[in-house]
Formats: sequence, structure tokens, C-alpha cells
Amino acid sequence: MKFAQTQFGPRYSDLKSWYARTLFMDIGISHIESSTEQDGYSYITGVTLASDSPISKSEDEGVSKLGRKKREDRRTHKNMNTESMDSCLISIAETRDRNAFKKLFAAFAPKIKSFAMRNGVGPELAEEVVQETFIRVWRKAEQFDPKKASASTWLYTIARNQRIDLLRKRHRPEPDYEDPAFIPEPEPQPTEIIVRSQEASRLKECIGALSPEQQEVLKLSFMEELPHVEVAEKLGIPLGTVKSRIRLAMKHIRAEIGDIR
Amino acid sequence: MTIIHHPNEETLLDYASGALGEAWSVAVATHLAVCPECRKTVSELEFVAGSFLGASEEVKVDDSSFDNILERLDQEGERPVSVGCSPTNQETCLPNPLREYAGGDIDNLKWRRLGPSAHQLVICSDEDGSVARLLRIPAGKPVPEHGHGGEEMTLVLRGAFEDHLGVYQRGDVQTVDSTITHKPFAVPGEECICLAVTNAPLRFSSLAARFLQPVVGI
Repeated sequence: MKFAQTQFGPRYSDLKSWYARTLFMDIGISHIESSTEQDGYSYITGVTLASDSPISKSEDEGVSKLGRKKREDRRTHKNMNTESMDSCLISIAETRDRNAFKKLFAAFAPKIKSFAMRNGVGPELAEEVVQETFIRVWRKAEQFDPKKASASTWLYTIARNQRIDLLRKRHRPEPDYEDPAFIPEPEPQPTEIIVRSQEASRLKECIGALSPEQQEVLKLSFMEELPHVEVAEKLGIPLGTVKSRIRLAMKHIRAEIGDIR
Repeated sequence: MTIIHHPNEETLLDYASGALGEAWSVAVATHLAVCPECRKTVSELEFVAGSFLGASEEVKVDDSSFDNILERLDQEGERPVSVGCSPTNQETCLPNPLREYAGGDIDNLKWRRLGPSAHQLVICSDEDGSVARLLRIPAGKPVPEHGHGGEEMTLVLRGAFEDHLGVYQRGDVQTVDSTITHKPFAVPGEECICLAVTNAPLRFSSLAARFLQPVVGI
């Protein structure tokens, strides 16, 4: 964002003017840090973006700390688990590739262990969740379909089910794709197939763009396995607020996907 | 079959996160079996969960962890993995996982009488008092007017029922809470079979129904 280099070089006092504030607020900047240099001009040294700022979604080289952090998060995320982790699973399915299995284990086992240790579960039991999860990963790798899910999503569903089995000691009912009563998705049109491959990356961007409050609710739900009623209790907010955050988040996600359909 | 009434999103979220109790999950999973639209919502939610897992902090695993897994896989050998076959639609039976829980299909279950004309079969009960039960209401007959001590979720499997909120057909889900009193009745022409999940006993409006409640156990 070149404007931060003050192409228009507003003076500090100008920054405080009504006009400047409105200008910045319009593009979602909620706070401005500036310093006055020898040339007498005030330079913007940092800005804080509001959570719904259109700039935070931009791919430009920005000045915002928040924007930069989001990009970094996205980058680490990308390195970790996109095509390489998907292809590990495909190699396991096709050639029973133990190196790929080891690579997948190295990337995800410590995360799954931390996931299993939420809610005060001890390391021994969490270790059991990790091992049972990867036993199933090996056995079910054929069922992984990169068109339908990313490796991290697929691993999450297996780890979640193991957490329910081992920690809650109960069964998780799931739809059965081979059941005659099962109603399959309508056959996708050829154009839809292309679109689906874009969905994953689009969704990922979209989660980063959700408000911190919406992310917090979803994170507590998934990582701590809290029912939404307990999320409301934990955050000390009304149940209706939790419900509307969930609905708004889903609406946002759907709108993003709707764009490319 | 066109499904109009779906479970709400917070229920689908609790199902996707695994926080939803088993009795409720049977109803949600059975709805998912016949509703591609809600399966899509659940897979979007799981995608969100997967991206949180991918960004999660890490806890070091035991040094022997990976070797233990390989050892177990070697010992147990390869197990055949069933690969999905293309299913054919069949619009009359109990979809799984409900059929497995019920221990049979819709026409050969061990029903118990419930009141003068209805039947019930308890499918699953949770520690927190939630109960999932199949209900069979003859065509055109009402369920006595009742309110709810807690939440009630009803999934229609055969026929249809109607109340002041709407008409519910196979695959449709109705969710009501303690603020709602309704008098559902089976739509004439076909008996209505549905799966009802509750987390507290129903509150019947009529004295006679309340009197019978402990006897019939609902």
C-alpha cells in the first residue's frame, strides 16, 4: 500500500482532521500511528485495521501489522498442508508408501496430540488418540478424495471420531454412503468439477477474513469440542449471540463459495 | 423428495465438532443420509475445523510413537477396505445409521403401545436424559397437545405430520423448544413414522394425557 508512504504527505494535524479520519475509516482503518520526521512531514508508521476492513483481504504489500500477520499465517499454513500432504495420502493409498506416511505423521501427529489434550486430557490418553488416528489413516487412505476434502480436514474427521470413541467412550452415528436409502449428491456438471478445486483455497482465505468473534466461537466448538450452549457460558455472552455468530460465519463462507459458482 | 425443513446450523456445528450427544446425533446423521444440502454444510464446517487443526499448536509425541504404529500395522496385517459402491435410491426404508440403531427396517420393529393408537420404540438414550424414540402415529390421528420441558427434534421417515408451524414430510426436521406448544397430527392417507429426540419429558396440556404419561413413559 503505497499511500502509507504518504504520497500525499498529510501533516500530523491533518491526520486528525475530520476529512482524514473519514477517509481512513472508509477503508476500515481504525487507528493510525504516525511520527514527525525532519522534513516536517508526519509519516504513517502503522495502522490498525478493523476486522471487517476490505484491506485485510487484499494481496497487496500492506503496512498493516494485522494484515501482515494474516499473510504469514496463511503462508505457514500453505507450506504445511496443501498439495504435499494431499499427495502423501494419495501415495499411501496407491503404493502403501511408508515414507509418505512418516511425513504425514511428522506434520500432523503433534497437532493431533495437542488437539486431544484439550479439556485436561492426559498425555497418555492423547497419545492413544494419535496412534489410533494414524492406524485408521493408513487403513482408510483409499477413501481420501482430494476433490472433496483437504488432508487436514480429512485428518480432523478421523481424529475427532477417535477422540469421541476413546475419551467419551461412545459411538458416533454417521451416514452410510453405501446404504440403499442414502441420497447421493446430484451428479456435478463438468464446470462444477473445476470450480470445486478452487473452493478449498477460497474457503481458507475466507476463514481468515471472518471476524475474531466468529472465529473464536468456531475455534472453541471444534478445538475444545464444546457444544454451542457451553461456548456461550464460557464466553459469558447470550446464547442468541453465539447462534448469530455461527449463522453469520456460515453465511459469509457460503457467500464466498457462491461467488465462484 | 424435497426436504424443506433442516436442522439449524448450531446443531450441525455441534454434530460436526462431535459435541452433540448420541441420541441427537442419530437424528442428525439420519437426516444427513437423505440431505445432500446439509452434508455440504457439515463438510464446510469440517473444513473450518481442519484449518484450525492445521494451525494448531503442537505437543511432542512419544519417541516410540511412529514405530508403535508401524509395529501394530505389521502385526494386524492389511485389512480390506470397503470402497463405496454407487447407491440406488430407495425412499421407503429407515436410512442408516437409524436402521442399525433400531435393529431392523421400518416394517419389522418391536413397537410398544403408546396411548390408544400410537406406538413407540426407544432407539437411544444418553446420560444427560436425552432420548431418541421412533413414533408411529396412525393416518389422520393427532398427538395430544403438548409443550416441551426442553428441546425436541423430530425427523419424519414415513408419511407426514402437520401442526401450526407447517407440514413435515420424509427427511424434514422440526426443532422446537420450551417456548412452543403444538398439537401435531399425522396427515391423512398414510401413517406417520418419525424419530423424536427430547432432552426433557413432554408437558401434555390435557389432564388425561398427563395421567397416562408415567404409564406410557414419554
